[in-house]
Amino acid sequence: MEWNELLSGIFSREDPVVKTVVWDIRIPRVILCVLVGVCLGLSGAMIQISTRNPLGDPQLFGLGGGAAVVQALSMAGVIVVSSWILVSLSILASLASALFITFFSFRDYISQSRLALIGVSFSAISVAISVSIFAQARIFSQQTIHFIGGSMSNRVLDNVIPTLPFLVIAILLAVPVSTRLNVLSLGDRISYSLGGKPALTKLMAMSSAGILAGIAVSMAGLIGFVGLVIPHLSRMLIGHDSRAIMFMSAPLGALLVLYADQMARLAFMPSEIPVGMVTTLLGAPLMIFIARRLI
Amino acid sequence: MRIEVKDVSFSHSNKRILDSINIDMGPSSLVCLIGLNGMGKTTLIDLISDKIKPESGDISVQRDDGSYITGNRGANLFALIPQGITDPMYLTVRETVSLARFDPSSMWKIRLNDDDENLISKSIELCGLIDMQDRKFAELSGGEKQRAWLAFCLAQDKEILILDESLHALDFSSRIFYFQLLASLAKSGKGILMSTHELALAEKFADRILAIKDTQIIYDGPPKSDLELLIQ
Repeated sequence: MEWNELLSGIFSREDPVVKTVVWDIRIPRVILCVLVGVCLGLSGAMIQISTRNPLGDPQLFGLGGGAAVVQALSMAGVIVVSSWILVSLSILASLASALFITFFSFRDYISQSRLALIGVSFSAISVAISVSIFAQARIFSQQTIHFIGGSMSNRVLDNVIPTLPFLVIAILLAVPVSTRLNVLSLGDRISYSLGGKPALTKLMAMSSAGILAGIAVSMAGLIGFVGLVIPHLSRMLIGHDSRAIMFMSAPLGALLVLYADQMARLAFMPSEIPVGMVTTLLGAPLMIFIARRLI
Repeated sequence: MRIEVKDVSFSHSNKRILDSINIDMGPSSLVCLIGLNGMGKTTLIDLISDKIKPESGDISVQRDDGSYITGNRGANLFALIPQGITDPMYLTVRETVSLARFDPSSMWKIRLNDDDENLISKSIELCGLIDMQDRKFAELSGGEKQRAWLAFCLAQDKEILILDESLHALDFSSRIFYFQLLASLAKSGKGILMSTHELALAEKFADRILAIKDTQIIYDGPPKSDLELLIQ
């Protein structure tokens, strides 16, 4: 599509084909990419800062695991509900996963290696369950690949709107913890002695991260590496203040997912590759570069 | 501000660690807590800093006007260096010390004000770190890290400092420097409770020694020369 066609598609509604392409396919997809990127970037930032673990990532730590299972059940036709209920179920399941992981990591205090091990195990379990559900339901199609690899194709605004109230809740949880996460970077004991309420801060950060991960999974499936690489990139660009990292991770996440989705859509036209593969192909080398520079 | 520990007992896995401990400490003194490993020095510090609750007895903090502070003692009353502290992964010395000015009551504080900045600079200077304040914390030597944590404590502007120290990684001159620093801080009004194995330095610099052995405080008084025999 040419620029003038795009502009006329946005501003006038004369040509029905152009209008459909712009308003019903392209713009929802752009919104979806932005939201997914924001969710993954912000979620990863909060996990990394609150657990003091540079490996923190919603995908890797299984925060989106609950949503993945719910989505798999829905695709297999086991649960048949409206999109509002499906999205709500997915996000609540993800919140439950986040709380489960946090709760089981807690013994006197939350140890970062314990949380990482439990998170990675939980993530593996949820992927195993999801794949088993697909196998049981005999879905071996493009659809499965696009869920496990993440994809923005064939999504409409109906998938987006139900997530918005949850997005607001997640941001309302994230804002007040952003300052406290700074002192949490010195450890629980010191944070407590400064009045930083470490347990509450971690609980709020992980809940918010869980909701955001759930939103991303329910919209686009499993997309790797965005939540891992974006907070590190923010840190490299803007410094180590947790507020700045969180603030920066949202737009950078959106940018990475937008680019990756363009490549996923156009690289092997007419067939699409899963966007999660592209984020990984872009994100992993970037991560290696940052790891050598920063850590 | 004074800390009053009254008849405090604590057990862990049915083993009594501390039994009816009484301590009273206030500002302007360097108090060294000595004792062999496993005798409950860290437990006592954890109790005072409100990490754990005593089994029986009472720990209270009295303000200068005579009123008592109730509720969460540990949160925001003393400056604390706990045991097994981890270095901040990415921060510079100054960034780390700046976090001491965190204000739990204001969620939206964007920038530190001039008073905060002055206090941070003064603390860094006092601990002899002015030349390395923009270096990464992780790149400091053991002695410098120890002093950076002390600067972090000072920047909190608290009257009482509680230090659960491990100075074993430091060379002798760093240890002397550290003790001299603490003694001068105590002279300028800080109350410092520090657990240590440095008996010779404690004897030289401390205002008061608390020796702990077999669940009891076996000595509480001015430094004396046979501390080693005392705690064996």
